[in-house]
Amino acid sequence: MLNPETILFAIRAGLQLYGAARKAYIDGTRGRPLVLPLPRAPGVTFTTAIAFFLGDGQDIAEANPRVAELIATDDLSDDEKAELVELMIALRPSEPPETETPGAVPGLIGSEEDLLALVTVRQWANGRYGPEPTALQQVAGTLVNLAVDYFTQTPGAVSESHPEGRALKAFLEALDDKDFATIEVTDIAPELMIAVVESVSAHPDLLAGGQKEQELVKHVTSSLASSAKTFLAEASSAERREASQWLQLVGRSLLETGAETVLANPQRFLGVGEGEAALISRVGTVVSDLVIGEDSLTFRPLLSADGLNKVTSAVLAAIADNPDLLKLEDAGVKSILLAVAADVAKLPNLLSKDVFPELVRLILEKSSANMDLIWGRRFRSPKRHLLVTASQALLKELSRKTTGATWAPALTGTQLLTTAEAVLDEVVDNPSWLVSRAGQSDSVLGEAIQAVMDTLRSVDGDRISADTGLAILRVALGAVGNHIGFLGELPATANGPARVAISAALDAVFATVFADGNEAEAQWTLARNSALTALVEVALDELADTAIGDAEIAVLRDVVSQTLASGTRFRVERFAEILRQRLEQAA
Amino acid sequence: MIDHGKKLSLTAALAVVLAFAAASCASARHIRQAQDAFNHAATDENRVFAVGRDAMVAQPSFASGATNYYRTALALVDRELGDNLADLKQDHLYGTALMLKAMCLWRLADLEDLAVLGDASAQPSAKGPSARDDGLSATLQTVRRELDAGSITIGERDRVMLFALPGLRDHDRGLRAKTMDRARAFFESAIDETDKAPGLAHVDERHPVVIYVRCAQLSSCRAWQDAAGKLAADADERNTEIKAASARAKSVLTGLKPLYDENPALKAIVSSLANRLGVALP
Repeated sequence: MLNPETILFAIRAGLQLYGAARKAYIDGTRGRPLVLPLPRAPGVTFTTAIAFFLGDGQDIAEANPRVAELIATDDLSDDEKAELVELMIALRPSEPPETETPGAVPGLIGSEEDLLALVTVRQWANGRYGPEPTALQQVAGTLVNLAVDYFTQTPGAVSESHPEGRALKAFLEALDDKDFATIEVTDIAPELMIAVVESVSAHPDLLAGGQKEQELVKHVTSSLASSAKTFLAEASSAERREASQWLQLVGRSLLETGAETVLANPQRFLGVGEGEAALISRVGTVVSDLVIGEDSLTFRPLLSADGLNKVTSAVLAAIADNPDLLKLEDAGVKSILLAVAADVAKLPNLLSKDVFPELVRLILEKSSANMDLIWGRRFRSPKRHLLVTASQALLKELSRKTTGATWAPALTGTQLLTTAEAVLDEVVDNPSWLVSRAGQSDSVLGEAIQAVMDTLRSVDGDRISADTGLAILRVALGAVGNHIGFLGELPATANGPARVAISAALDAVFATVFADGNEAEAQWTLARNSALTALVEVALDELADTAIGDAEIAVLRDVVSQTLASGTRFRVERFAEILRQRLEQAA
Repeated sequence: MIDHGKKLSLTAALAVVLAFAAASCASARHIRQAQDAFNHAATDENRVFAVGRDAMVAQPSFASGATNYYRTALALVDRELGDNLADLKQDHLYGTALMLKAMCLWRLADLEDLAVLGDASAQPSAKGPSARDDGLSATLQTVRRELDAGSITIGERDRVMLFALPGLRDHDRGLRAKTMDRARAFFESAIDETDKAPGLAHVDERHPVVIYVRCAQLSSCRAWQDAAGKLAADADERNTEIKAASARAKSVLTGLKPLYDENPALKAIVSSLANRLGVALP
């Protein structure tokens, strides 16, 4: 039943929510840009040519009798008029390069969009005259129309007791902040509002509480508006439209995937202190800057909506663990993302969208937990970030195009990420991996990866699967991690050139197992990918206990050969025992 | 806790509030619709301007399309001025509505003239161009009277347009003049009147509406040259008129120089206009 008390309550609530919006709507109507039509006038005609030859082109006309004759003629025929125009075009000096459009018709205004922008005139000049409209005032019309449409579907939601109502209010308050008074938000605000309200609608628990949740919405909105202010002020309409869609995705992502992290750490992200209050805003700015800023062309191809959620979630989780990631001189998280994106962008397109978000997650997870260890205490440049450097070394080698490679599988995102995680774990376990050795330009890691990959690439591509190859890479890196002697160089012999020990060891195994003369049954057993991985692992493990030289490699080759020739089922333990004994004898 | 009955009541009441909120903005919404229609028409016209008037003649659908949008805008504004004058005044939108009406009348007077002059596809208004002119004068007088009385407020763009519109209308009359003397008089008046507008409105040269006015002046200079090619009695008169128009154009361009020197997009457009005029940028 409607009663006066209920009606008054509803009117109060409704007016509170719409009061400011109504005023802004009307103010916005008064200040709305209008397209002013230019009074009609022709383009280039013969009178243009006459004006030219009587003025700036007077010298040319005097030197050209035909021109002088034509401009002195009373009634010019159509052909003569056309001739005058052609003479003007042919004889006048070239346009300055900055105003000349190759092949353009003289006098044709090259960019309709620029012309329309020029004659689309606001009521008040930017910040110079009269009352300056807030962002809310600029877009109130569109927002009210959208809001009316939206809330007509769910009228109860307009109340501040409803999450969408609270989200809308927080959103409007953020836009009404005078700091954004000069942003051209017309194109972006509707998209942001939809993102905020729909995110809350899909997850009503996001704004189930009170002030903190509304603060979250305000900060998210503010950070996106801030990015828009920085990057879209001079953007074309098309760029703004595209950017606003990305900002919408970022807004949803921050609210839907980030709320749990943020609301679980309110002091950290929404905190009360001067420095902490903006943490969530700064995260929002980092992510939105990447998708609409100078590096957007690198980032957008690497991100699906799901990928953006993963990146946002990873950033927030890392910041929750270690806020120092945001307090770096060179915007720590942002520089990590930029560096990783630059490397992943070199991967095939189909792969990069899968890999980038997960690689970011891996790196940020491990970074936040091992900050000082992997980046040093004076965080400066991503070049100094060990995990970024490590992933760079891996991606560089995996994406390297080599001529004549027989093993060059198309890797899946999962395969690549599994390998990356193993590599990153190695580096966290021993940061010395990234130290360059004397006389080497690459780090130890880069050198090791290259040596293993070069050996794998020489194997028959039909014999080793991608999974096995990458498993062998991980095993080999583990072996190098345990024994740096695997990177020692074995001198050239009569049978071959000088090579790195790890390559020689792997090659000894592969060449023996895949040799043409082997018994088919024996080869069947050892060439099984699982057996091959185990064989390599054990071989490298046993070699790690010795000083690796040509003699040890020869022993390995011999033991593998004997194992093949024995005709018995391959047993890892037995193989290890024989190899150990033979290596001890050789020593 | 609100019980279920109260919740339903609350929802119903909120629906009433929503309807109230929407209704209370109705005048503003209609003015916005009129602005949208005006912008649509003006955009069409400016697209034609970008390629030169010949395209307007070759594709009369442009003119008739723009005319229809201007008529829609005018009808919406007239309805609000007729039915909801009190609301418009209360919301301080009266001046906005009047200036929008004046601009619609300016364009309709020109485009309906075009229809009368032989473009069969553009339907002339029953009221005719002269009635539009009368309406334009009356509307501008109303705005000035209300401004003097302090009963309306209008923004900077609208203030400049208030003083520029008579000159812009003179430009249109110049396009239709039958003699060189009349054409020159109209175009000179167009350039002079629009030149005074920013000063009368106390608006700085850097305001976008002033840049628009300067471009309109260049357009008047160009139309003056064109008229000389059609109406001058002989080559001497034609060339004298063209020189005079070019000199005025040079003067306008010199005033624009500080602005286009720092704005490449503006420079590109002004350069195109100067190309049409056959003059070099200062």
